[in-house]
Amino acid sequence: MEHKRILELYKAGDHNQAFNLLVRQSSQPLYWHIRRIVLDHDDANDLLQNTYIKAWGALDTFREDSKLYTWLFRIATNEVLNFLRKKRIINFLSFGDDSQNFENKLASDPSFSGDKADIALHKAISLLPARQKVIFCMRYFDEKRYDEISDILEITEGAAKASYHHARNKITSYLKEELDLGD
Amino acid sequence: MVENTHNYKQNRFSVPEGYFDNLEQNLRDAVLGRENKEPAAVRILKPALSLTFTFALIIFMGYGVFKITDRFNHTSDQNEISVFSQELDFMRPSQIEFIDIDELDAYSIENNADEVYEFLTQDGYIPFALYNSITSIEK
Repeated sequence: MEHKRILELYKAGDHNQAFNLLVRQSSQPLYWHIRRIVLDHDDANDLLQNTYIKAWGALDTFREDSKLYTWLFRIATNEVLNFLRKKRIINFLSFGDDSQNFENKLASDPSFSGDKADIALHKAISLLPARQKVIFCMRYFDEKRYDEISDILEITEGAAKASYHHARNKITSYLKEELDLGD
Repeated sequence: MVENTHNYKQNRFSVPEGYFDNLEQNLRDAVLGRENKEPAAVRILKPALSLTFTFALIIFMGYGVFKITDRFNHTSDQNEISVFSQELDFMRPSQIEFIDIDELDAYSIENNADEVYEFLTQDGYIPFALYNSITSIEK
């Protein structure tokens, strides 16, 4: 088990080796987990960095109640949720309507190659409440199981399922309306 | 109309060239570099220092609030003092500094009250109250 090896190396004082192994194992899945929710590369990169700074600083206190991988995802998800809350507050205070610029912003992003349907999907996701957004992305894009989602978010499996289905229904309705999809 | 067969799950995002190649090094610099920059003593003492600073701030703010409310409580007294002091303005040293104390020896006050009065009123400015207070000393 890799996470046990990482912890052994860390406890033995081989911090560089432990860190390299930790990053090699988890950085890409964590990056994509964050990126699919926040969409912007720079934001995703900052949040990934914060995730590792927090995780590394708290590795001493990791109790091994859950897998190291799950724990990292939990930290990353909390970072993302905090980021989304702050962004929402900033938009509210600046009277900015982020949704109006959403399509233009995404369409002009050189790192995005999606078409009208993809833009509509991400617009629909952006309209969800933060927690539903996170749960939908984890289930739909990362294809995580409900028990994994419930471990990461520390909620029940039932709550995770319910949130996902609410989110999926909202997105389906939005896409039908926006893209004139057949049933 | 968009077809239902569209693959929404496909990742449409990309990263800057070489991003993942340098990610490990960048994260190491950001996380371990940061750790090395901060001395161990600072890392250990940081929570205690933060707590001390917080308490100091709370006490300082509490003291500030106390002083402000205390000042408001004494405002009426101060107003009274202010009015009283305005009434006594004419008694302030700047108003009576023309009195040359050297020339006002006790003997002349006691025995030559009229001369003293004349002396004091030579500029036509001495308030009568001051004259009364001087003559009452005499009595």
